[in-house]
Amino acid sequence: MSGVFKNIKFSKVSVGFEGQEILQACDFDFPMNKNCRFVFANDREKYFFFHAASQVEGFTAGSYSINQENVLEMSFEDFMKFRINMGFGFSTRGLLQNRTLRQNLLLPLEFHNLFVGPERVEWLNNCLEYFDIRSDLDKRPSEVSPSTQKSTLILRAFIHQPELVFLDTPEALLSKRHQANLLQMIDDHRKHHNLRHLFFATADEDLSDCLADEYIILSKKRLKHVTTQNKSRGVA
Amino acid sequence: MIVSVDRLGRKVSQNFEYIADLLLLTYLSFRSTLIGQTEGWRTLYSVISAQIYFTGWQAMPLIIFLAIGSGALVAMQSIMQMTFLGGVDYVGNFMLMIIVREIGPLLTALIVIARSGTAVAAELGSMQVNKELDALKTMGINPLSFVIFPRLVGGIVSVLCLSFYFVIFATLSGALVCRIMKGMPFDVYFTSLSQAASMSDVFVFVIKNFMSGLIIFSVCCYQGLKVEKSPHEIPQMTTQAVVKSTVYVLALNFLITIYFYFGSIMNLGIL
Repeated sequence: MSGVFKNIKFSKVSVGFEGQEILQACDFDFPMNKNCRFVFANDREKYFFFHAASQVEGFTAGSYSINQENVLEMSFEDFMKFRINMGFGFSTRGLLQNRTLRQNLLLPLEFHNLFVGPERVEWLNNCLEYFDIRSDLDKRPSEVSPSTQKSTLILRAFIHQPELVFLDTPEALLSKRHQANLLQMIDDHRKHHNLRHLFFATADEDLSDCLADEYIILSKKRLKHVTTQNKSRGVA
Repeated sequence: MIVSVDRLGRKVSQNFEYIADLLLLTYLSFRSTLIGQTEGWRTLYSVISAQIYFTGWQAMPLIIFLAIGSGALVAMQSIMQMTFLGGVDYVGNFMLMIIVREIGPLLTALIVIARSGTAVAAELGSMQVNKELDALKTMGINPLSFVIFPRLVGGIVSVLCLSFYFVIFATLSGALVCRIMKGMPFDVYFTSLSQAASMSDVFVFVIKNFMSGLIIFSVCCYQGLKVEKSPHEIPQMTTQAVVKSTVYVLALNFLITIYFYFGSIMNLGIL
């Protein structure tokens, strides 16, 4: 089965937010079909990099191509064919405050008409096996614990069975048991659903050891591959 | 003197830029909904309904209360003045001129600004701070069509409906006051009202309310979106939303009234 994302590439890309450049004339081929850990010097770089890569914003020069198509020249509607196959797990925040957790989880499915009728409920129940937030499903984000909010954020990134997922600090606020469930969920999505490419950032070395196939470090405004053997040197 | 002219010029050009931004926001929200929307219509419909419920339905008691009060006051004042001039039968003209053409659209707009405009600006501001708009984008949902469009459409529909009900209740309370104070039969009052009304009144009423709704909700959405990252910006932007939408709504009402008034005078051959 062939996926939507054949290759993802930065060519002479510069990315800047609020007057500060985080990438400058950067050439980079994203490793495909792998779990890649991105390492950043600080949270600001991490947030802006994920923001740029997932939402195609903040680019000041160069081209960001997916399957040889420059997505920087695409409108929101043109980019939809890729976006619908992407998931993004925010570090914190990002839940719609005027909707319940259930509505937050179901919104992408309802909006894009995925999993119709009983299938939708069945799929939601299936997802909830990994993070048991059933008792809080009909509460709004402000009424539940940060850990439950985080679980919802992660579940929402995977709810539409994306092929590519960005996860920003997935371990934050999760218990060890939920972290283990997260790894299981990623594994299941790889085996039984569409997940092929996972790009994540974490501060947890144990999680990284369990999950990362490759390490990519943002240093001197460039992205560089670091082999698994040299990761501790690279990360340091 | 030159400095003052410069300052005035800067203010004027800033206002034109602001209006251009509002028009662009409105255009893009309609464009993204009508062109880009393929699957999310049902979800959008529920958001529009919710907006009409909050802006229109929940404001009804306040609008009815104000309509009854202002209708009664205008009728009372009209009757008192018209009694001196010997033209009590013309009270319908007064009600039409003051309630339908002026007070109805204006008071409704001010109530909507105070109740819903502030809520929309604050809600969008907090959505910005909480990264909710970014989250929508990552889910493949364009905030322009999912957040802005329903507020614009729901807002315009609500203002039109509220203003319509305002006029109905104000004229009814006027009829009641005329009946109690002067013993005027209802059919005389309503005949006077219907003889004074013309198609242009309907046109002015619709255009004033449509434009007021559009101004209020585009200004409030725009101000909400101007919040960048800190919660402390939310009250600042909300205040600006109230001030700007009030000024623009008043200016619009003024311009339409002048156009209508001069049109009437010119039709009479006075100018």
